[in-house]
Amino acid sequence: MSISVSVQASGPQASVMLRGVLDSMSQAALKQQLEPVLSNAAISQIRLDFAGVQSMEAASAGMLMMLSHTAKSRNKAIGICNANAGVLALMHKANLGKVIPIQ
Amino acid sequence: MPSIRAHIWNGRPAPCEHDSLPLARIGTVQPHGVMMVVVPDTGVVEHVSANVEDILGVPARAVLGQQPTVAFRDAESAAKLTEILRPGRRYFDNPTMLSANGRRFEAICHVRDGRLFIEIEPYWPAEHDYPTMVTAALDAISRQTTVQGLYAAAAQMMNFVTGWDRVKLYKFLPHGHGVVVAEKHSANSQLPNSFLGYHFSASDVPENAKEILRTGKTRQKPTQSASVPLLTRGPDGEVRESGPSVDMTDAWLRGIHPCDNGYNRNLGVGSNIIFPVCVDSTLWGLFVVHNKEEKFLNYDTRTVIEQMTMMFVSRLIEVEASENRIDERQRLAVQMVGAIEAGQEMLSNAFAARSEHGNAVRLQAMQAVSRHVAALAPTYVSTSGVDYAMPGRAEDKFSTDLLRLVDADGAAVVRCGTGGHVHLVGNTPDPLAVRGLTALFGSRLPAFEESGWRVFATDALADFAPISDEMKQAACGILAAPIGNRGDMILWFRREHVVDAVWAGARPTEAELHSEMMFRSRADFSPTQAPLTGASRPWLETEVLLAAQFAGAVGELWQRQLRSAPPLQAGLPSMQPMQQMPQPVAMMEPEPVHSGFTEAASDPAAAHRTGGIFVFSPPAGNAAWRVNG
Repeated sequence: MSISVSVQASGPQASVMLRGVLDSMSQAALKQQLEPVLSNAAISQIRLDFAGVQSMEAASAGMLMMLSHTAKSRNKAIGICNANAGVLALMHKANLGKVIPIQ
Repeated sequence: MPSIRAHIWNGRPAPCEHDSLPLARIGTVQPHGVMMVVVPDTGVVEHVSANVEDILGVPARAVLGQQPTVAFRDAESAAKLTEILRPGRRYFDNPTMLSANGRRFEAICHVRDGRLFIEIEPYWPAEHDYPTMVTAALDAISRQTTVQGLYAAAAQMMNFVTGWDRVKLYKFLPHGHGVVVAEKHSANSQLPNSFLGYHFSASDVPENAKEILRTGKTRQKPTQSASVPLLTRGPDGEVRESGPSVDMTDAWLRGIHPCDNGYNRNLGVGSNIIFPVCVDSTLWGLFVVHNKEEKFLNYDTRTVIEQMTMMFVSRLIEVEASENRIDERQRLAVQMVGAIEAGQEMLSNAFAARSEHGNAVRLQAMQAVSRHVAALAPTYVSTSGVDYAMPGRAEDKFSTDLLRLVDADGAAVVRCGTGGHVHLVGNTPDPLAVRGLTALFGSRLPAFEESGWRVFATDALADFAPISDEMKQAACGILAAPIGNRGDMILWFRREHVVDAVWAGARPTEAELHSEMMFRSRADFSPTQAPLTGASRPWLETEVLLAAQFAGAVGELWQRQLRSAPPLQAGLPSMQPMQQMPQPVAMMEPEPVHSGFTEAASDPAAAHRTGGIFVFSPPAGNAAWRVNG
């Protein structure tokens, strides 16, 4: 199963709803789908909504760190919310909170 | 749906005597830190390491059954511990800085099996602060565009962050062996020996150790001093060793097996730390960092390295896909499915057309179309049970593309049914052996129906079936994907990839793997030349996925054709339904041409001229037909 993305933009804020499984096979698709958001100069805050993410692998934590790096280089803030317990546990194990705010 | 990785059955390590060492439940703790295992509901210490008195100045008997705060008298540390013990906490902002006896400590907490683990390590300043380290790592990793460049950059960053003498990036190979693919030494390294390019035997990492590494847990061993026991209270209140009762899989301070300590001493290493590189749930490799003297890394430094390892994996997936032109091959797959569809249209038109030259000529033209699309069109026409395509020949471009799709040395398209057909491309086993392989699914090889993706890949077929050396030259690795449910299949092959390897010390023999020798520390790391055999180049996960998707798309095309096809009888001289084949397909020789001819012939003289032609229509669940012209 891959990942699907839907974006709702409101002024400088973009809410990115993710759905599916975040693993080594889906990260390229996610990056590709997020590129328009990262390239949009009008957006300064990106909220990744993980409510629809069933599971996540550690490599994807690395991808999110690099995504955060890209966002910062384009003057955008990025945050994560609504992750389920399993995904949240992995994020904490990876100390992802040190790089990206997790709500 | 399970990951595609679940369908890759690469060569497994040979079983070894020390595989089942109880490493996660070793019952000991490394001597440089204190471990407390707390019952969250009561906040009392259930287990504590025997060194608590040496490090915190409080005897174990005074800690067991009490709150951890008993070991920390300053108010600030006690308050922080009280916050850690707040009921219901599952996540912790590690590390928490504590003080005791005038020393600074880091408390690192996690919950496992309903117990709160508090690991207390002396604080050591880092070479750089966290933001500097993580920014440098992100920059270095994200800039890389080649796999080898990424390996080198990651090893260099590990060296920058740790400042240790030697960093090795170790990649696992088929059958659990490994090779050092990158190495970085400090300018003033006290460990000048290089292991770059050296192979290490699978038995160097016991299976139970790999099991823990697969969880992504870093293994730090800053000192080679002996571990100390974890203690608890017995039924009568006496203090005794905890034994294997505590699972320390996620613990930093998990004790070290004496055999492991000896291994490092024999390497001349005082401190080592191992960061597993996991791609999803598979252990891809290890960063192994060595220092001659004992040296400690604080928690933030270890965190940066763990995060860098995750970034490394993420970037590796991208760079590997780019180097292997996965995008290009995905486009190729789409084009090939289009070519099959176009080929089918030509075949259908040919069926419907009237030819002034007679059926034989018409059907021979149709056979050429079938060959053009490697017998993958729903309808195909065959003059015999076997076709051979030559990679590189212009008229066999489609067959060549079939190899390019997954970077194979050979491929076979197997059509089942009476008078079934095998289309071979490149370096393959003979048709009989190919049919034999297809018959193994569901017995020696897994059944396709048991999981989400309908595909199977291995780089070591000999681990599943007794195959000859000759067979290994063609099919040491196979990647198989069924089309539909009747036994039609595409198989891709890779020949055995023999590496003229240099090993760090001699590999243990089969007898030694099952002997007490496996519980003694290895001492010989001198270069030893021996070939690494028994496996093909491994299939990439993306290649396996591509194969599954391609076969799936062809299967869908067959289904569409089945639903929309007009009755074939209109344009053909004579047709009879073929019998469906039972599952699984039996091993068989392609049927002789004449057996089909006798039943279906309308013009024996024409058949004699052409050698007989079979026409097959979509077999997906319904009757198929054949005819000869």
